[in-house]
Amino acid sequence: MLRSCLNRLKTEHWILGGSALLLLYFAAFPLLLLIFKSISPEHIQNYALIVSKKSNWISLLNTLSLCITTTALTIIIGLPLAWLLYKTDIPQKNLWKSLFSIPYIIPPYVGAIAWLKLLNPTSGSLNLFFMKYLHLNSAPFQIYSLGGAAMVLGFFFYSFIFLACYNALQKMDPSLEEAALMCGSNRWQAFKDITLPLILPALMSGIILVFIATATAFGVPALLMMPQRLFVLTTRIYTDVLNYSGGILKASSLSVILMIFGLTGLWASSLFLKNKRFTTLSGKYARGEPLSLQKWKWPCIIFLIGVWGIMVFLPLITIVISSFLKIYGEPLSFSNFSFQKYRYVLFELATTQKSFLNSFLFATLASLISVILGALVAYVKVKTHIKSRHWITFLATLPYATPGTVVAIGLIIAFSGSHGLNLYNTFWILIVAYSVKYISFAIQNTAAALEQIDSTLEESGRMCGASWLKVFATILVPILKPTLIASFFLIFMPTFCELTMSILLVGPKTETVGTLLFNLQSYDDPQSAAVLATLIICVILTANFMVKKITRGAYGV
Amino acid sequence: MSNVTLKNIEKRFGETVAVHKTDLEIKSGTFISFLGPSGCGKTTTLRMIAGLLEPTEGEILLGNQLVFSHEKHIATPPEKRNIGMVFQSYALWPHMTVFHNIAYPLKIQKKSKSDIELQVHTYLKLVNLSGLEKRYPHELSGGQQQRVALARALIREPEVLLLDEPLCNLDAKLRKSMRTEIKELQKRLNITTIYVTHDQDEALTLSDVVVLMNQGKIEQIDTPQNLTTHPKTPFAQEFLQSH
Repeated sequence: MLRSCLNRLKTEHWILGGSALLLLYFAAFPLLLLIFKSISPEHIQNYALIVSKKSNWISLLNTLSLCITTTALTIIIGLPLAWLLYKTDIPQKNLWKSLFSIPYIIPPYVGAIAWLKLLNPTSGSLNLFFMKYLHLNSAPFQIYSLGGAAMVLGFFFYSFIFLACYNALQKMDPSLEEAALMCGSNRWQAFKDITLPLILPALMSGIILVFIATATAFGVPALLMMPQRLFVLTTRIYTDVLNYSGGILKASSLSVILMIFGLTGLWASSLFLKNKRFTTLSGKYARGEPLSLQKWKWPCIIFLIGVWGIMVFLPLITIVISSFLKIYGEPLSFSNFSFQKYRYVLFELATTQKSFLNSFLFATLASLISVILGALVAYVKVKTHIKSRHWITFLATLPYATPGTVVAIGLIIAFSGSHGLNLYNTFWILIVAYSVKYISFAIQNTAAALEQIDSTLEESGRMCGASWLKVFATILVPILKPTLIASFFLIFMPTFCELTMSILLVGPKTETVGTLLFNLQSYDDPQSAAVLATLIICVILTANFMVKKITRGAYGV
Repeated sequence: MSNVTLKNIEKRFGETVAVHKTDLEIKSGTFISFLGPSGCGKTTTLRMIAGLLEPTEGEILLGNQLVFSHEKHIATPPEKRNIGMVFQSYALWPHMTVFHNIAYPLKIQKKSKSDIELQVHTYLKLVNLSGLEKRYPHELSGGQQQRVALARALIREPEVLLLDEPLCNLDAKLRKSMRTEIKELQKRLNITTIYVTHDQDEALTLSDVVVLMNQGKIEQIDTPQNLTTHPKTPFAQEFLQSH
């Protein structure tokens, strides 16, 4: 019986089934284990312990207020920006769109490092500038605060709202707004009554994304709030794991709470996007007439330059400049310019080369694994009729919806040897973490591309005598090539500079650029951190440039 | 008295000329069609009259009021022109019910609730949609959506009604019956109507006057009968034969 069943299985079943099982073992098992362990009889009392501790409530409260402040800021920046760049006749729209999308690909902790240099209460150059020219006795800005963290996160995460609203405007039939004008409403009324309600689902899903990203951010609150002993959930979990023996188990209960944040958000956003009343996509539309700004043109351009200058250019240039300073803290001058620090960081500091090599290796391997496994899972999702395929794709995207901190804790618990496999302190645990966290990029992109490929292409391949594997390799893969390459880079970019999971998973020999940067910045050497941050920015911008080139602008910013 | 007057109107997009210098007078109460192949400039001309597009040259008058003048830097925005328009895609707002779609122009005018209620029901009756006011656009058939768009355009009691290929999303049978309905409505309200279409049957059966356009230029302005019996240009001859 079993034998005849096994005999009927063909190559494709083995390959597809195997990749699904592999993914479930590494992606879903650790998270489910984490949940079940935390509610098992021997650990359930941890929840009581957590609830009884005031510090946990404070960190939950801090997380919430950080989320609300950041989200408010991102709406104020992102929504008007999307409108201005899509709906009006402002010149150089596409250039502005790219410039304002840069924060989408740069890790926010880079911004935290930059703003520390600008707004440090004792030595921040902007603070010193304001104290000198406004004759103040104390620094006007305190970057080590919840507000400081919200500002830095807001200056990055506005890009989520901006891109979500921009895409929604792009999909909206412009005659819907024109119809309002023909009914006698002015531009503002038309925006308020028609456009805003129609892009609301996109705006809401953007808001939820920002909320989740803020609740699960580690780098920024660690750099800007921990020094003041202000904790959010992620940094609380980090210190728990670091400080107590057995802290990991306490942390796991806290992780489950954090996980609820992520999953609720994802569920809520899927609800918003389903509502049919907001379907405005019914064919292709022209861009519509852009609103002529006329006398507002120059004020708007100046506004754009100012906002971009402060949010994006200023922090990036600060990092680059301070990486070239000979003596840190001395004013900017030609004599104070040198490559000294670069020589030190690149050739003398032993850990740098190693961590760069590590990050390159881990990110490349993780991206490769994700692209291959992701393509196979996408195939299962789109081209097969296996009943459990929706479950497989849901479980495969579970880690993406789960905060990085929680994924890391789950992996530590699952793969420390007590459940068979021991990957702790090896580089494999990092590769597994990166792969499972970002594989949903590969699955989604490939699935979307596969849906465009008619099954007759495959069938005709089979009719020509090729095996399933041959058809997959010689017909599907070549057609999917641009998507696969784009997915590779889209996963490479965030994993190369990953911090949240890495900080919990690195061992003595597996330090990455993210963790090295974090340690340099928090402990001994902020200037070397600037050099490292500059190098990270270069790598990311190069990768982005390559995606854009290869996909002719379809991916990347 | 002429209701819509175009004087020397021209529209360029960069180098390309979409509508060459055009003069046109449309008398009050007329049903006029802009007929021509796609890309002939008929929709562009319509959108310039609506105020959704600014001409690069010339003047537009609605009645005696100058609503656009390139020389005098006058450009009345569309919402101040008192023109009703039905879009090709109908452009019904998916987040509003039929009632709220039709009531919208009156809400903008800040009319009282009871006035709005009364008037919306009058217009629902006019377009045979009574009883459907609580539906959402996606719950309506194509023909019903078309009527909502018509009612919404008419409820302001505009001086001019613009129809941009209003029937091209309907199936052939429905198209014929909607055609009659539109014509009857126009006669009853005696409203100046500009109808854009590429379908010569529609243009010839509905209109008092047909404006035949090609490559941004007017080929012939005439009654449907004269146009079919005496086409003046080779293009007119060919276009009218080809169907």
